[in-house]
Amino acid sequence: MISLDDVRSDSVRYGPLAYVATASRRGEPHVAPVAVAWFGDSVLTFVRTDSRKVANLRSNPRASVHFAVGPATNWDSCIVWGSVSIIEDDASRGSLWDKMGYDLSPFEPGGPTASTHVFLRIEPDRALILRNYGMAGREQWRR
Amino acid sequence: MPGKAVTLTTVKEFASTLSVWAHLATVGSDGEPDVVPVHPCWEDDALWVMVGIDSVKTRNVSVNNRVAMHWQVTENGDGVEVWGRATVLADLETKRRLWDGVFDYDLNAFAPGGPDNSPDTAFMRIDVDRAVILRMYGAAGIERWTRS
Repeated sequence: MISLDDVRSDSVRYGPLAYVATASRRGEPHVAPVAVAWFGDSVLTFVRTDSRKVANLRSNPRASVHFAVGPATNWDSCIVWGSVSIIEDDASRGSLWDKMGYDLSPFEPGGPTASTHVFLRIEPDRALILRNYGMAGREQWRR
Repeated sequence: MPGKAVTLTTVKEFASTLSVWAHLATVGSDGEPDVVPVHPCWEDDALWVMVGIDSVKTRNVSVNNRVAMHWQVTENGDGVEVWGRATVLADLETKRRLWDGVFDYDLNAFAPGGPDNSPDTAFMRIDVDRAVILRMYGAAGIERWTRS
């Protein structure tokens, strides 16, 4: 058993890009690439308000996040599951605006008060790290 | 978001220019989404993925056969997402047929027993219903295909 700190430390090896899976009320899955950043014990991402993932999360707040894989990280996988809060009020968007590690302005010229983007705050309740597809070991964390 | 209509052949050709890796999303009986990396290969208009017989994705599609898959994006954000219906097959005839000639990597590296001695290994067939090509995360164009 590893700690959430271990998961967070490992996840940064894969870079800021991850694939977030959500499901609609009818059980239709969706997966999309997003830029992510840790904010305390949560994973943050900044996405369009009218995106499929936001629509899905309004009816099913669960998400699974898989960080990008590649040869540089020996095909290791880091997967996080959690419940998601949609952050869409001006004050909260303003407080998170500079927490993503990149400039959000090119993606949302209207700034933090624009309603066309929201933050997703994923609060992990379990995580799994697979070393070399799991063939070289697996490490788990649960809240 | 609207997008130009394309053929499945165009989707397959574009996907072949991307990473060999894709992220496969399934949904459990409790509505929990799951996403894992896979190395899919096309056989005509179907996608095949080698899977563990006891894996979460195999269990999930046994109760909900809907899947979504997103190829790992390029540095400039080009990608493909497909949606479809999955079926897991573990019969010997299918395994022997797929083992050589369909996949572009050596399956023996993951299942050294080969098709005849790999009881923990199966194959997931994905029949694609719709697809979207996203150039630069969609900022440089979106193309769509839907099964008619």
